[in-house]
Amino acid sequence: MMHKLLMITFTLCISSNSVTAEVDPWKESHRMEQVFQYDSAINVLKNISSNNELVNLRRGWLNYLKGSHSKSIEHYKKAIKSNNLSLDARLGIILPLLEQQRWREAASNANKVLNVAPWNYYAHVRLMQTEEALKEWEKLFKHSDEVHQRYPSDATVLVYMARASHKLGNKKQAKDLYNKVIELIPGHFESNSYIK
Amino acid sequence: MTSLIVKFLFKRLLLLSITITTVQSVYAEEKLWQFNQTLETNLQTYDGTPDRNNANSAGYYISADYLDSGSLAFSYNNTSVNLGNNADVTENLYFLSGQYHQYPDSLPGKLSLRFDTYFGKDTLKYSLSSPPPTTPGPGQGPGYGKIKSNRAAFDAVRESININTYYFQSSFINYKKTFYTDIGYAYSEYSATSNTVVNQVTPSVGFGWNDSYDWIQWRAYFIELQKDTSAFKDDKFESIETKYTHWFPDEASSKLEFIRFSLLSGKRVLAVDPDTTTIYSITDLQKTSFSSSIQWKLTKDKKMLAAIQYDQYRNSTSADNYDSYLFYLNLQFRN
Repeated sequence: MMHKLLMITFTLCISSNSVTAEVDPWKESHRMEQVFQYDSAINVLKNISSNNELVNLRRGWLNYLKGSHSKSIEHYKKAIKSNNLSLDARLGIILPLLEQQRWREAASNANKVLNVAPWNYYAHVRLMQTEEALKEWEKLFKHSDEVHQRYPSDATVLVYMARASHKLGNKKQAKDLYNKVIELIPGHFESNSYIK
Repeated sequence: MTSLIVKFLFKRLLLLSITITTVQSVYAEEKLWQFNQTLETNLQTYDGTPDRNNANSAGYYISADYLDSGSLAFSYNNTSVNLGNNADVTENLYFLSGQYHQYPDSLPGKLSLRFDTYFGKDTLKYSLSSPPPTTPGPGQGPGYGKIKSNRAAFDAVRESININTYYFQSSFINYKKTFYTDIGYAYSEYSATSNTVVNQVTPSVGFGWNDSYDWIQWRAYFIELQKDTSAFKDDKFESIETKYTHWFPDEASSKLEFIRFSLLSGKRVLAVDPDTTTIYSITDLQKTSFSSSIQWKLTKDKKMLAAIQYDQYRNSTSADNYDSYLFYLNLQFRN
């Protein structure tokens, strides 16, 4: 009898240990991301179906952080395929596209977000990045001016506006805009350098 | 019945235009394809040869870029060379190209695969009473045979040569825009009564500095002619081209975009230049070439490029040296 009890206790201990040893892949993935272990953060998700929209978004993000931009784009595309309405995926895919200097593809995705969410801040700022890279100064000035009216305390938008003004030859206007940036962020390096 | 068909078509057209308008308004900024068009012309004069007087050329080029994934291009070029003695050569050349870009994670830049084809015909017209000088004009490959002779007039003769060139290139440019390299292979065939086959391998390497405002590029040409049809003493030709480009900062006060100098040393014949998408279909040996070009940004969608080029050639038949001066102008439109 005693022997049987010992056996049951032993078996329960083992099974209890195996339960505590099973790790929640999502929790572990986030823990690994916090310590910059991106490969591990991706690997712990490997048993989750590749058709899972959320896992594709997460893999897209982690691969972007890791610097595997093509892989990141691939996962974001899968996420878009599984949910064409996903703004998360559209905003996400822009990041690796910008890293690969695929300006027109990035702009295309930003515009798709703006078509359904007209004043989405991230889509606008990422679109401005493509306009700057493509040297579309008139477009960038007009665009940043419109966004500035909606986000008047945002310094990033003002910086894009100031850069576009400078490139368009409106140096006084650029200076005024950089002064506004300094009012928002007194130590802003680019603005202070321009004013000097 | 006819009015019914017209009404039906009108309704369909109206529906289609509404659909297009709707799509455009939803995706107002969505531009999957970007088109670039170029109109080009050049004038060429020769010095030190009785075989050529002058030449002129006009062409149209269109390319369509699909986002950042690839592009397609087409061009047509017409060249006329006045050989004197009422003889001339007309070249009609077509160009088709496809390019595909890849962005592998294993490389810190963009990898491109490109395939070009050039095809066309040269027609030499001359009078039997005053036959042309020893050397044919552009495109008249060493074969220079008669594949068809049409007596359009009493003593007028036409001879034609078909040109077919295939070019494959793999290139790489890093994201920082400080390093570029490519390797290309060209196969050219000039068909008349006999064929001339040209194999060309052309590797290139380029470096950028000063925030990529300055670029230097070297392109080597290794050209081999098929021995049994070659009219040249040699069948292997090697040359190297050095190209320096200075880009001007994009400022509203300056319309200048870039200035470029190029120098070719060595020997080159029947070469394919992938950078300018030019085939040097002239049969003579190109010994030296120097060119200078400048590009202006006229508006945000229009550009103009002007170039001058000096070439030194050796006549493949008479072994005379002569010079060529070329003036080139193009207008580029983007939409």
